[in-house]
This record gives sequence, C-alpha cells and structure tokens, in this order.
Amino acid sequence: MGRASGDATALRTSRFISFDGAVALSSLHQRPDRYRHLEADLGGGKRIARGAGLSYSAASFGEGVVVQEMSSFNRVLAFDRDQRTVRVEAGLTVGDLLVWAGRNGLSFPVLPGYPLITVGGCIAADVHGKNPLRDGTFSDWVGSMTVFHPAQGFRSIDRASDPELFAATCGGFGLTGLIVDATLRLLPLPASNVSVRQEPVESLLESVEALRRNPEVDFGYSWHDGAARGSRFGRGIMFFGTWTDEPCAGTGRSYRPMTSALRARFPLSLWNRATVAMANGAFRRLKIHRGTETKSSFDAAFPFAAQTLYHRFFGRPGLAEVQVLVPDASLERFVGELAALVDRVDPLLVMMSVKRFLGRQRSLAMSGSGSLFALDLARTGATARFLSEFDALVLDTGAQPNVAKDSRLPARIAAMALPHYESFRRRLAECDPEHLYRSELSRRLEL
Amino acid sequence: MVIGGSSGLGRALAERLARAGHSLVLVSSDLRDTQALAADLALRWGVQAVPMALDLAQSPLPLAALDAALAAMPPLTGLLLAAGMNREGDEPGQAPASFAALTCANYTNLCHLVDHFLPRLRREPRSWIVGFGSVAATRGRTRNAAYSAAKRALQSYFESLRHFLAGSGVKVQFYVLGYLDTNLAFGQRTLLPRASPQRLADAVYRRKDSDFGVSYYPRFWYPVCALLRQLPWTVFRRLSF
Repeated sequence: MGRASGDATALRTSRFISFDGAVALSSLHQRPDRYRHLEADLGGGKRIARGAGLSYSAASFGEGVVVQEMSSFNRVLAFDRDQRTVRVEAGLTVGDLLVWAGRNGLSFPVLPGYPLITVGGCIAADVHGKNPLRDGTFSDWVGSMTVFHPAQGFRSIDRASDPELFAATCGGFGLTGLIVDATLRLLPLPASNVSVRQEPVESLLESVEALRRNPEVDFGYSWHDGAARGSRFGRGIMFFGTWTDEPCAGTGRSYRPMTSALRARFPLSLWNRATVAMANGAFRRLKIHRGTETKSSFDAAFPFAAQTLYHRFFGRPGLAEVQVLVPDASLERFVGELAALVDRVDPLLVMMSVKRFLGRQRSLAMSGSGSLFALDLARTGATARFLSEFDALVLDTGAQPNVAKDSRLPARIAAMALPHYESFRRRLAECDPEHLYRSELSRRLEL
Repeated sequence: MVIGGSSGLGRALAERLARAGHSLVLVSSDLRDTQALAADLALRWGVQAVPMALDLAQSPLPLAALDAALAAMPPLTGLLLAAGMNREGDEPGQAPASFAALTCANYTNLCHLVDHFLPRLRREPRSWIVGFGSVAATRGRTRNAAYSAAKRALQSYFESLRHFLAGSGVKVQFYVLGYLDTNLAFGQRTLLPRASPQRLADAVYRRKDSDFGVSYYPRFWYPVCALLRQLPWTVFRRLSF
C-alpha cells in the first residue's frame, strides 16, 4: 500500500538482455518521464540511454551502469510543414513516426525493420533502411539534436554549430550523452502502398548485380537461403519495392510488440538443419509463386512486425548476426571465400541478405560505399569458430563490420576494420572525458 | 483543465481527452514537460492545448495566470486533479515546511483550484470535477503520514462538494487509486499488481457522465480497503506496509 515517492532518481534493478540473447545482466534502471528526471543526480554513476531495448550489441545496458529508459520521451514537439521538418523526442518509435508522417502526407526514407525501434536508437546506431545506397543512413536525415550531458546540460547541436559532437553522436551508440530530441527531414509521401516484386536469384553476386542495375529503386534488398551449399550457395530472392496507390489487403498496424525477453521465450532453438531447409525452401517457393505483392507502407517498412516467429525460433540460445560492408574492389573475393568458409566450417547459417550501401558518418558506423552482407546463424558449436574465421575474412577483404549487429565483435577487429574508430575514441574523450556514458558495447570495444 | 497533466495519470488523461477532441489546459510544475505534451497533443490530434507551470506546493497559487490562459479557450467544462506529491521522510515529526508542502500539493491547493473554478463550471450545463485519492489513505500508517491525511481530507472535501452540487450540472467524482504503473511506483515492490494509467484514463473518460461519487481503481481495492478498515488495532499495528 505504500505508494512510492515521486523522487527523480527512482531506480530499480532490472535484468536486460541483448536481442540476440548473447548478453544478459542486471543493472539499475531509471524510467524518467519528466525533464528534471534527466537532470537527476545519479551520484556520478555511469549511465546509458535505452530506447526499445532491441539492440543486438548490448548497447543500451552495462555492468554497473544506470539504464535510462526513454520510452516516455516519445512526443512530437514541432512541425514545419513548409520546410518538411519535424522535431521529435528520442523515445518516439519509428512506427509512430511513420504513421504520424503519413497522416500529414509525408514519409521518412530510412526505416529499420521493426516499428518499435526509437528515433534515439536509430541515430545512436545510425541504422539504414531498404535502399541505403540511395537514401543513406538515418543520421543523414537528422538536421539537429538536443543532447544532454550532466557537465554541459541540454545542448542543441547541428552539423554547423558543433560538428565534432554531432559527428560523434550519429552512430556513437549514446556514448556522447543522452539524445533528448532530434529534428528530422521528411519527404512527400509518394503513395500509400508499396508494390514489391520478388524474383529468384541464384547467387550472392547475382543479387549484387541486380541491385546495381536498380540503384534508384525505393526498396532494394535480397534474401538468401542459409541452408544451401555447394553450387546452390547463395540462392535466394530479390525484393524490389516501388511506391504505388494500388490497394492492398491491410494496414498491418496491429502487431504484438516484440521485446528481447519475448524473443528468447522458447527454451530451445527450433532452428536446426531440417527446419531451416524446410522453412527456407517453403519461403523461397512462396515468394517466387506470388511474384509481385502489394503491401501497406507499414508492412513494407517493417516486415518483422507481423512476422515474429523467425526471431523467436532462435529461442533462449539466441542467434548470432553479423553484417559487413564489403567494398566493390574485394566483392568477388569476399563472396568466394565466404562460400568456402561456410562449406568448410558448416555453421547453422539460417539466412543471408544483401543491400547496396552508402554511409557518410564519422563514428562507429560503417562508412563508405559497397555491398552490405548480413548473416544470421543459430548458436551451435561451430558458430564461434565460423565467426572467428569470418573476422579474419573481414580484415583480409577490407570490409567493415556493423557494430550494431554483432554482440561479440572484438575491439581488435573494430579498431582495425572501422575507418573512424580511432578518431571516434579521441572525440569521445573530449565529449565525455569522465566516460559517464558507458555500456556493455563500449566496454567490449574498449572505447 | 488537467492539473498534474504532464506525466503518469495526468498525461494519460490529457492524451485521452485530446483523442476525444477536447481543448486542454495542462498544468504541471515544470513548463518543459507541459510544453512538450501540449505540442504533441496539438500535432497528433489537432486540439488546442495550452501548457502552464504551477507549483502546487507553494501558496498562494497564481490563479490569475490560469484565468488568463482560459480567456482564449472554449468554456471550462472539466477540472481533473491528477496532481500529487509524495516524498521520503513523510512521518510524524517532519519539518513544518515539508508538512506544509505535502498538504498544499495534495489537499489545500487542489481545493483552492476547485473553489476558484467552481463558478465557471457551474455556468456550463454539463461539467465535471474529478479528484484522485489513494488507497494509502485508508488507514494511517507510519509512512506517508501527511500525504495520507491530505488525501483523506481531499476525499472528504469531494464528498461535501458532491453534496453541495447535487442537482446541478456539475458531476463530482472521486477515484481512490491503488498502485499505478507510473514513475511514482517505479522501483517499489508492490503487494498487488499495478494498473495501467492509460486504462484508468479510458475508464475515467468513459464514466464522465456517471454520478457515482467514489470509485476504487482497480476495483479489487474496494474489498481490500474495507478489510483493512475493519482490522482491529492489535492486528493492524503489527502490519508493516
């Protein structure tokens, strides 16, 4: 019956788990819902912001770190219809952003695959959307931000006023301070739905070629069967989406929210060689059979909203995801050696995907152009060995790992592979000399 | 007008009312919070929302500022008093300033607000005053001494108010609240489940035309509180909560 005090530093101990299930720990948890809560004296303790908590890489929690959950900071603060800009709080979800923008005849071009991911999380991880070659990454569409740091208070920054802090915050995984709000640039909504053309493809290189031939497509990416080996390695489906006003079956906005804990509810992984082969075969045949499908913009942007079984099947053991940006100069060598590595180690590879990519940030985010390869693996005995050899392949081919996708990426690999790793470390030391903002990710990457 | 309308229950009420198209005056102790919520409600729901800052722990209240805000609004038809203040060390023997702040924020200033706006509310054919108490006020305990006393006094005031306004167009409602899933209860170990402030806001809005006087939310608190009231002192004094 004792109703608690409204103390600004109301804390509890919560258990946090990375989305891939690989990292779990308990730490103090704050759920601020007023601006003065953000300013609360945490006694000099380390802290990190948390959005939806769907990061693969344990970016939003850490040992001995106060987790500041930003879910209440989810308001739309200002809208300039003429300039097509909207200022939103960092806890606004991209699903809400898409719905709100759609009501105003606008859209946001860079959306990750799940609607509950927050704007703050998207900036911190510098996420990309369905055609990052054309649209760039999320941070490209951020005009300004408000960042809070206890030593500096609330600061409004943009690329001109504080280029160093701005650059370090875009793709800086919340380590420069707390992203409070951001002003985003929007585009006119081209149409209400998306027509998705689905075509079979026989190899990874073929999918890259297909994407190269369609650089201006609205949505462009591929899916590949992870169970295929030998000559069938890399067979998959190309997805090309274009905006359309053709009607579709539903809006898809009702979905069961996914959390990292919900994803890991099955005690065992239901993915094994038989289920992967069966599911992938069926998925490929279904997509080829359907050919072209018209989807709502919501369904097209967030394919994992309605389809949660894929991730839930990895169960408590979790999944291992890696994503790397491969420069064009070493593309063929990368693909060839990846195929050989998969044949040799034979991990339980569930699926792969490919996009074309262009990144411009100067932080921990991938930077430059090339082809983006993602691999999802079930955690088995061969996974660690495969990933270790995969790291060597990354270094050997000049590829860059996506820090946001890999909860075990060693600091040594990040330091060698990411072009801005060292300069980011230096900037971080200037922005946050006491390293007040920390996470499991920053510990692992020795930032 | 939602007093305490920036977070927790107050925010949920403001969002529910905005969704129904009502113009709003949002009052809380920090203008940054009410400004953010007012902007959001205006942009999402197209309603007029005016943010105001008011420290309910201070007395006297600057009521002229609220009157000025209302001047540019449609007639006032609802006053929802979702504000409350609770703090550590609220025990017998506390400093007078602390006691006064708790009493002002949880009782006297809320009554002053009702008194001040009553003429406006009575002028309207249908209007609505809602107060929120706490199950913590069921019986005096070691903790929350001034808070609980203020909430019990507020409930008594609302009973008088309902009696006074019987037969008028003003509905007077009082909710006795159990644990809500807000920042107030965050970090606390609670004996019974916490209710969603959004669901409570839905229920408050749905029942806005009902003449029920006092209601417990969630409803299971009614028998729990009735039982607590009946416990003999020899048993009650052994309870630690």
